[in-house]
Parts: sequence; C-alpha cells; structure tokens
Amino acid sequence: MLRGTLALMIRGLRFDCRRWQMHALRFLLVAIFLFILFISWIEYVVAIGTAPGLGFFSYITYTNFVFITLGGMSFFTSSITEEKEEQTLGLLKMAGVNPLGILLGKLGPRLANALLLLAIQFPFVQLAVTLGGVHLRQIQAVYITLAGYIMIMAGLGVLASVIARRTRGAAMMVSTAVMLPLLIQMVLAIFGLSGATAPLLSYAREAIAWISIWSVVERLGEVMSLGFDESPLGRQLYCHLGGAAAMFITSWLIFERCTRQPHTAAESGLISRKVRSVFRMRTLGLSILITLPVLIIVFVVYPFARSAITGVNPRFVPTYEAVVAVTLVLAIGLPIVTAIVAAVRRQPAGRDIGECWSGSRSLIWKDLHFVSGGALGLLYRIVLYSLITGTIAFLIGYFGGRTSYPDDWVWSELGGWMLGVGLVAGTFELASNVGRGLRTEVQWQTLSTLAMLPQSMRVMVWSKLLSGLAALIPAATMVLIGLLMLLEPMTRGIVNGINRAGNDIVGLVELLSLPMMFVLVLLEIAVFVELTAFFALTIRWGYVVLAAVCTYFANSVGGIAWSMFGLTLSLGSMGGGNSRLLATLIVLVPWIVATGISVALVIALYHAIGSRIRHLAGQS
Amino acid sequence: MNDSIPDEPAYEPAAADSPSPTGPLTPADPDLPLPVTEEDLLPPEDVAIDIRNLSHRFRNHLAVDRVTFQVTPRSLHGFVGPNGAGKTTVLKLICTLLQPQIGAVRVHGKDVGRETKAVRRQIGFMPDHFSMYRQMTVTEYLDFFAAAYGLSLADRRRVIGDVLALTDMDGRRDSLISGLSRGMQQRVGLARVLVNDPDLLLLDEPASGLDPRARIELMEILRALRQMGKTIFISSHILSELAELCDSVTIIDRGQIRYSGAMRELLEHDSDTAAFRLTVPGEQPGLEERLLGLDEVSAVHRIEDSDEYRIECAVGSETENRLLAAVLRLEIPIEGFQKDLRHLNDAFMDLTEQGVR
Repeated sequence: MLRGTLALMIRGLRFDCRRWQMHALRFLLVAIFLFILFISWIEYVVAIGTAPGLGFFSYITYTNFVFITLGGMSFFTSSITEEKEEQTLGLLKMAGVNPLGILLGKLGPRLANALLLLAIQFPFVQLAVTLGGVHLRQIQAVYITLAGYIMIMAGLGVLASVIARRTRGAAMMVSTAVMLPLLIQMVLAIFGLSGATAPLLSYAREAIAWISIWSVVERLGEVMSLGFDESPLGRQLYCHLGGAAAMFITSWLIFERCTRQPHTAAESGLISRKVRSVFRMRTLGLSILITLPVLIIVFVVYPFARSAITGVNPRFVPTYEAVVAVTLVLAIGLPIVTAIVAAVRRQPAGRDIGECWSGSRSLIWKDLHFVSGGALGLLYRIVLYSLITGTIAFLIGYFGGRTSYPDDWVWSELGGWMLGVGLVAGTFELASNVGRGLRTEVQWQTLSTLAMLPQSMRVMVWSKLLSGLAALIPAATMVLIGLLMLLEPMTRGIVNGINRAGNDIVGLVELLSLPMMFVLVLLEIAVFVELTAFFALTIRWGYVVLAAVCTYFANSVGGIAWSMFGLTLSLGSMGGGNSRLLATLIVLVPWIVATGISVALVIALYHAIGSRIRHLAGQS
Repeated sequence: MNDSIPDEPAYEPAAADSPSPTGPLTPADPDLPLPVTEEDLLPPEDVAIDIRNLSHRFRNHLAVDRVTFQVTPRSLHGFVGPNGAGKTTVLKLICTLLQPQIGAVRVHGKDVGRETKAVRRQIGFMPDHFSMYRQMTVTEYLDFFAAAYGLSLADRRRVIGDVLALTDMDGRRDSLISGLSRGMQQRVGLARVLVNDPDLLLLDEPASGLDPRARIELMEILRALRQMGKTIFISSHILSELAELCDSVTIIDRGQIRYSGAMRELLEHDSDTAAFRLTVPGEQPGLEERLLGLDEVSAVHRIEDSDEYRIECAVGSETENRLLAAVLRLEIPIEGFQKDLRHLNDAFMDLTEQGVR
C-alpha cells in the first residue's frame, strides 16, 4: 500500500514541480506581500494610522481566508473526480493501490502545496511585528488557524470528490457545505428573534458555530483583537482537525461504494438528453409568458389576501412580504408551469433542442445548450436568482425593522443589493461559462475541428462570450430590476451634480464619478473574464479561482496605489495650493492610469487567448 | 487578436535555400535522390495539393524539411511514414491549422496562408483522434457543423440524410455519440467531414483502432467517395490496405520525402528490371536452368518452400508478352503468371530508416 501511495504522491509533487504555473503563483504571492509590506512601511514612515503592522497583517490574513475558501472549492474537490473523469481510477485500483493509498496519494500533494503556499508567507509576515500593532504570538495563532482551515477544506473537498461523479458536482457540494451553516444560523436567528430560546436550540446553535467552517472567522477576529495573549492552538484548530480527520475517514469508508460502478459518459449523456427533451427554450419562454401575469397579480393581491386571512389593514401589510411572495411564486411556480407546458407540447424524438442556428451563431447555440445547460440551466438560474432576491428582501424587511409600516420600505435599498449581487454573481457566472466552454474544447480535443470552420478565431471567442451572456439572462434581469429601483436616487444625484457642476469643478468630478466608476467596473469584469478564459486554456481546474485571485490582487494593488497617490499629493500641497485642483487630480489621474492599464490588459489578454487557442488547435 | 483568417500573408513563401526562421535547416542527405524534381511538377492550378520546399520547425525540432510533392485531383493518395516522420505536421499545414514557416502549400491553386477561408471551404479534415461533442446526438453534431458552414435549414436536412446514408449511420441518427462504438464514431467523424461537400478530404489515421470489419467498411466508403470525384489524402500505417486502395503514395521519413508518385511505380522494383512470378504444378526438375536459358531472362530464383519462380528480365517494349511467349515455348505446365510487385511494406522498409527520430 505504501509503495502505491508514495508513487502517487511523488507523481503529484513532480507534476506540480514541473509546472511553471505553480512556481509563478508562489512568486506572485511573495511579490504581492512585499508590495503590501512596502506600502505599510511608507505608512509607518509618514506616521499615518496607529498600527500599520496590524493593518498589513489583517489584510494578509483575510485575503488568505477568502482564497482558502475559494481555492478549497476547486483545489481539493478535483482530487478523486479527475481520476473518475479520465477513467483512470480503475487502473489505479488494478495496480493494487487500495482506497486509503489513493486518497493519501491524491490528497497529499495538494495539501502539501496549499500548506506550502501558506508557509512561504510566514517569514515575510513576521516583518509586520517591526511595524507595530501585532505580536509574534498573534501571527503564529493566525497561521495555525489558517492551517486548520486548510485541513478541514481538504477533508470536505476529498469527501465531496469521492461522492461526486464530476468535479463540478463536488465543487457544488463544497459550496453548499460552506453556505449551509450560514443559512442554518440565519434560520436559528429568526427563531431567536421570535422568542424561541430553548436550551436545546442554543446548544444546537453553538454546535453549528463550532462544527461550521465559519468558526474560523470568529477565531481570526479573536486573535486579531488587541491584547491577545492566549495559546496559538485554539479550540477551532482541534475542531477543524477533528472534522478533517472524520471526513477523511468517511471518504475512506465510502470510497469503494462510491467508485464501484463508474458512471459512464454515455449514461450522463442519456440523462441529459432525457432532461433536454422535456425542457426546451421555447417551452421555457412560453412558461415565462404564462407566469409573468401571475406574478403581477400576486404582488397586487397579496396585501388584500393577507388582510382577509389575518384581519390586518392592507395598508399595514409589509411590502417585503409581497416581494417575498412574488419571488417564491416565481421560484416554485415556474418549474411547475414549465413541466406542464412540456407535458402538453411534447416534441417528437430527435427534435429535442430544435435545429442549430445558422452561420457563426451555431457556435453560440452549441455552447448555450451543451455548456451553459440550455433551457434547464436557465430555469435553474431563474429559480436561484428569485430565491436570492426573496432572501435579500426578507433580510432587509425583517431585520431592518421595516415591518411596522409599509412606507418604511425603501425600494432603492433592495435595488442596490439586487444590482450588486446580480453583478457579482453574473460576472462569476459569465467567467465560469466562458472558461468551461473553452476548457471542454481542450478536454474533448475539438479545437482543431472548430478551427477548421470558415469562422475566424475571433468569431469563435466572441461566440463563447455571447453564449455565456445568453445564459446570463436571469442575472441580467436581476441587475436591470435593481437599476430600475435605483433610478430615482440616481437621477436625483445626477441633477444635484449638474447643478453643482455649473460653478464647481469638484461638482463636475462628482458628476463624472458615476460613469467613471461604471467604465472601471466594466473593464474589471472584462479583465476577469479574459483571465478566466486564458487560465481555462492553460490549467485543468481552478481557473475561475485563479482569475479571481489575480483580479483581486490587481484591484488591491490599484486601490493601495490610488490611496498612496492621493496621500502623496495631499502631503505635497500641505504648504498651500489649489485644493480644488488637487481634489480633481486625486480622482482623475488615478482613474486615467487605471483605465489605461485595464484597457492595455484587455487587449493583451485578448491576443494571448487567440494565440493560445491557435497553438492548442495546432497541437490537438 | 490576430484573425486566424488573415487578409495578408502570415509568412513569406521562400526559396529552397532560404534559412529557417529559427536557425539553419539541416541540409538534405546528398546521397538521397530527389524524389520529386521541379520538372516533374505540374502547375499548382492543375493539382489538388501542391507543396513546394515546405519546412516547419517546432523550437529545436525540424519536423518537416524541404518537402515537395503534389496530389492530383480525384485520386486517393496515401501518405505514409514512421512515427514522428512529420506526417501530421504536413497534414496540419495543408489544412491550415499550422502556418507554413518556409515554402508554399496550395490547395486547388489557393495558398493556404493567404486564402485560408477559401481553402477551408474546400477541405474536410479528420484528425487522428475522436474530435467529438459526446453529449450530442449524431444529428445534432452534424447539424451543428452544417450550420457552421452556413448551409440553409433545408440543405442541412438533405445533406445530413445523404452523409448518414453514405456512412451507413442512418439508423443511429438519434443516438448519443458517447454511446457509439469506435467504428461508428469514426463513421460520424467521416460524415462530419462531408457535410460541407469538400473537394479534398484529409484523413489522419482514419483506420487506427478499428476492428477489421470496420476497417474494410471504411475503405469501401473511401472508394465510393473517390468515385464521387473527391480527392482523398490519407495518412495511415496500414500499408496493405493503402497499397490496394491508393493510386499514388508519398513516403516521408525524418521530415524528408523519400518517394512521391504512383503506387504501381513504387511497387515495381526499379526502372531497369521487371520481375514476374511463375507458378507451376509441383516439382519441375531443371526448370530453373531452362528458364535461365531464355534470352529475355536475366535471373531466376525459386521461392522457398513453394512451386513459384521469380523471373527477372530487362525492361523493354512488351516485356511481359515476350517473356510469357518464351515461357510457353518451353511447354511446361503453368498454373500462374503475373507481374511480381513488391509489397508496400518492403518499399516502406527500403525507403525509411531504422530507429526513432
């Protein structure tokens, strides 16, 4: 067993050692830390802020936390599923490697890599002590906490990887496991607010808080607080190590059962074909048309229905309840209506998704149906975004105390959240769709046949993007509704800006700040999507996370540079000068620089993607 | 991003003595006779594939070295060579997946670097691996490619029906590709290549991994396609089938062309001597000496453990008839008399070098 395990581990480590990407990632990490350290040192020299060391260390700590969470969803989840997908798990078993050996051999190198990424930071982060505000004990405690967090994410990832048939499914499982304790805590909080404070409930709450991987947030907060002088080994570490061990043992015990009968591509295809023969685009379109009037009716009628049941005056029925009612009707009703419509309009065999769209649109058709999930994927997203909107409305209405009188409800607040959540989720979804579209072409070796089509490579890349955009209709609708709700405050802000801009340059800058921010956000989305596409053509998994890491760091570095520029200008003009001009420069110059860099990045990545596709097409 | 369908040439067609972009090219073996000379070449417009002085380098590895050959229209042309000889590189250069670094490639007179889009419309390329969307049905897969070529809905329905009938896959049109056997997937791949009705088919190892039945059926389909007027350029390791199937052949080894021309000429031994095989019933004492005594005959060898004799004679006008008449005059019982062709395997072994490149 030991020989097989060692062979697998050595293979994994060698593979990673030979990949320049892993070394580049480590180098990038260290470079970024040094940059942030340099900024903190400047802060220290010019004596801005009370504890630059703590500021620097907090930034590094929470950045690590975010990326361990994101990385854990993809890095560990593919450990076993990649063998299942490549149908090599049977070969490993036949080679005499037992389940424990496979688990250790596959998880070991990944765990070693993740811990190594954490370990290389340690010497640099200790420099924070010299800047003040943080003790060595705190640094040790944080890194031990994060190591425990990596362990539990690894345990969770490998368990999901054993159970799931594909990496995507495993990642979904881990994401749900990460989010579930939050939802449970939310539900428990609702009970708590309702006065249900039974001892059993509080025990349950505490147990969830400790079992949940989110206890790491609590522990980090505790460690980072001033005057921390406890042991670096907290209860969270033991809980996480215990949880990781339990999940690893469970993975071992269920390994044979879960991998005995490999799920063939033909079976998966058969299921997806059955599903898509029921849910078609036209069916979904018709169902939406049927459901829309029902939603309007629910919104209008809800206060009266509630009044009829409870006796409350319709004027006093909270608006958020009507919003929640509408989103629930959409989330539950639309699938039912679609199923009914599909049953009534049954299609003959061989006409599942209709004919392909002609010309260059054929590429969009293919990716929309076979990468983004087609009509079923759209239906799933509509349900998901409805539920998210309903949850936001509930949280704002219930916890924000907007229950006493309907006039307390502010549409723009919901609009802001819908815009923000829709934009972030939509961006990730777009990047994921584009990345998956390209990755599958590489995986199935179809780039050479696609490259042979009379469409240019440019058309092919744009088609990938457009098919991703087509799948974004639910997220885009959410963003649009959010924007409509924000129309009134936005218009008011613009009118004020115009009034001020007439006689004040600062007013003009304020007026321009919204479109300026809009341009930057668009460019950032473009850079993120392109980075995902490029990484999808370069690495097998984790491309979205890696792109997110790079975008996040670029953003942080840009933000810090922007602040430093502002600070330098302010300090330089302390002896006097035109303060209005200064304020304008502080906003405009960094914006111009950031836009220029972003545009250059967008163009460079666009060319890099094209070149990479051509290279891969020539190779395949 | 550079469009993959350039308006401007992506390279400069160069003379044979032009240096490689990444270093000097390995000089051709001076002892090796040139397989194709400039005088042998037809005008590019008159041939399906015209390759002249083509060289291609991957970093430090010279994959294709001054390759020149032509493929005539409506022929079935075999392309053989050992592993790593440069076959797939040449195929990818013809089908526009790679841009020529030195030299020129023309398909029906069109330069693959300058007129990429037009060339792509005229060719169908089947790579040596299953390049398939496995979760699609056969019809969806073909419909996607036909639509990508801009065929109207009515045309697509007709064409898909035709290509499925030709490849005998009509009964599996609603099957998922992932559920098809290797042979059937190969047929679907061939059907895909045919949806845009290309004049030239480039097939890279189409028979690899197929069982004997599937291989024979594939060859039948290729014969049918040739009869339909298609030019087929086929790279394969299965020499026996190529010898039967192909009109012409190109042998490549270590990036250099060893032979390019008619299959029959390759299988004949050399230009000065003709060989024939005489089969007689049972033991015929003294026959070897009697045959040697004929004026036309230069050498006779008895084939080991058989009743066959290999007769060599000088090539002249009506050699075959004159030799047969002379043999008949000997009044010996004859069971068979035929021209003795080399097997393609022998020619391949003679023309290629041992060892992995």
